[in-house]
Amino acid sequence: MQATASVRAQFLQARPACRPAARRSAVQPVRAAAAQGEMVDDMGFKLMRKGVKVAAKETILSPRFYTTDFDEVDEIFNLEKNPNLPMEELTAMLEEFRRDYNQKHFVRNEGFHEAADAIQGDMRKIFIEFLERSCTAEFSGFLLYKELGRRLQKSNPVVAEIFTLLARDEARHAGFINKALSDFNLALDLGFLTKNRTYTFFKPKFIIYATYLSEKIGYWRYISMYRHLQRNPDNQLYPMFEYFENWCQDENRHGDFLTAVLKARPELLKGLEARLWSRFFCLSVYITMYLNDHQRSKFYEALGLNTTQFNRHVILETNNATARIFPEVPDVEAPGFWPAMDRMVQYNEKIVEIGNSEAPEFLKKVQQAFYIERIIAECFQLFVGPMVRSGSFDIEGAGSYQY
Amino acid sequence: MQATLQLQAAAAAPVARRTQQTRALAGPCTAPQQPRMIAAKVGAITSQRNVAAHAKGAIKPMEATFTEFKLVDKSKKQDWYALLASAEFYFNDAQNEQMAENLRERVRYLTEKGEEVDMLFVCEPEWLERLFPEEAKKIRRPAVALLCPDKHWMTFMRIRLDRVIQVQLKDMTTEEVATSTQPVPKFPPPAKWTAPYKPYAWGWWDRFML
Repeated sequence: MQATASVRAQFLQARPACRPAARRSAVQPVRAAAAQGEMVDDMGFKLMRKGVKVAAKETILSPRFYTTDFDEVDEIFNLEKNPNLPMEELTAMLEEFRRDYNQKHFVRNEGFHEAADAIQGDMRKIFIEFLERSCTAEFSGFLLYKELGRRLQKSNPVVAEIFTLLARDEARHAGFINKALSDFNLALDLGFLTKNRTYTFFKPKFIIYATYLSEKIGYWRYISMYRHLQRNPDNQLYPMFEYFENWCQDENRHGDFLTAVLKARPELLKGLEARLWSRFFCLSVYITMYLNDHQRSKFYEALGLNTTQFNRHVILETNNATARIFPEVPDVEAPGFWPAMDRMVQYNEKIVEIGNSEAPEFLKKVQQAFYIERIIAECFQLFVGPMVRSGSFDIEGAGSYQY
Repeated sequence: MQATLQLQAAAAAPVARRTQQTRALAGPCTAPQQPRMIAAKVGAITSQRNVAAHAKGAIKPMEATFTEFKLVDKSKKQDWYALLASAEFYFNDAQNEQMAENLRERVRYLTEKGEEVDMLFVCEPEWLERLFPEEAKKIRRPAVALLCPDKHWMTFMRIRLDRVIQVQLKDMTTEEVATSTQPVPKFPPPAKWTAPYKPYAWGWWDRFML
């Protein structure tokens, strides 16, 4: 079957390229796409060349590549311009990263290939998508951290080295996932992605808030999956999950480094503006995950997880972690919070359903606009909803807190 | 909707497991057709349970995978850092269960490098009221101290935990800093446990107590 696919692919590639003028919808039957002169594997995934997958179409919810104003980053960390930058915590973090706890952890066991073969049908497709998203997210971290490490080398060697070590971890993770993808006969051409993917521009302080949250939420996602599978070995359908515990300790530590960064520049944590941005970033990250995961509910169910329970737990604990540094976090235990999140899931389902329908493109846009507007309205409601004042005691003071 | 899906999955689970078991027992000799084609045809929902045999049970319980180690020598005198908080905070809080993973990772690392394991937990340390009466007042009891002479690591732990008080103990032996006046209490079952997993078994911290 494999052979047929690649023969067909080669044959199709040899033909003159006839790019389709317009796509009716993102998800097309395999045949239809193949007929239009693209390489497609037997799962319907488009290929760049044999065994190399065309990256999934970017949407508002998909993992992004980030770039930033590197001169402004330099302003933040430059030791000549900021002679009073408190470096104690950052130096301690550097020592933690230098130890490289997981240097020998990411060695594949023999199970990967066999397990990949055993995952078939719909599940195979969902699985490949999961791996692709995870790989893109890790790789996106690598690119950003690597560049930050390079740019700060002269102005702040400690922070530069930390960024380089974070890049080391992310590259390891991305490579590990991409190797796993190759067991499914599909890998991502990361070099090609580096050059061709759109980079989202974020101001440095937004990069700091956003990466803090994505590292911490990454930790809670991986550890929750891992610990669930620890108790439910019947659902342990892929050996990669065995690596998650040590893996996510890396993510957690990355988050702690960003905590140290925020504490070194307390202006990012003080005042109304900082509070509003904290609110905004927490909510965007939580909502994105909640919608994304519910759209892929089958994946979590296959692991024996209840998508909603899993997501709520991850958000709750990420929020608890974030409350130790961000000056304000949403009150996720407020009565209206989860119902609002669930309504957004329903609206998002409608949007996807319309996107996959046979209706003409303009009609789809009109139909979708209604639900998009509903989601925006819900987001706004959450944004002005109940919040909890929070933050590091080093910044906010402990008051009369009982430890 | 959610509920229906779950019910279906639950009903499908044992069936799928049985199918898989039979397949494993039968082996390739009793199945003349190409086994891989069969797997492919199962497809859809049930194939989700098509667990590769090696993957089953590969994740051992955390408590069973702590590397064997010997704690730092009792009579060794050195300067210590301590992070103070309540026993509840350290040992009965879903957020701080990461401590167990963290310590386990560090134990593995230190033993690999042939370095001493020098992280200690002490419940109601003998020195608390004597040396730090002011701090002691701010802590819910029983109090617990996390101790370690490694300044960088303790700074890192403080960044992570934040809701802890850091103090320093100069020139004390392991035995002196680790003298406890009270055992860790049995906590009542957590009122709100949101996690899709169970808490780590009570007492995982014992291995760090003298």
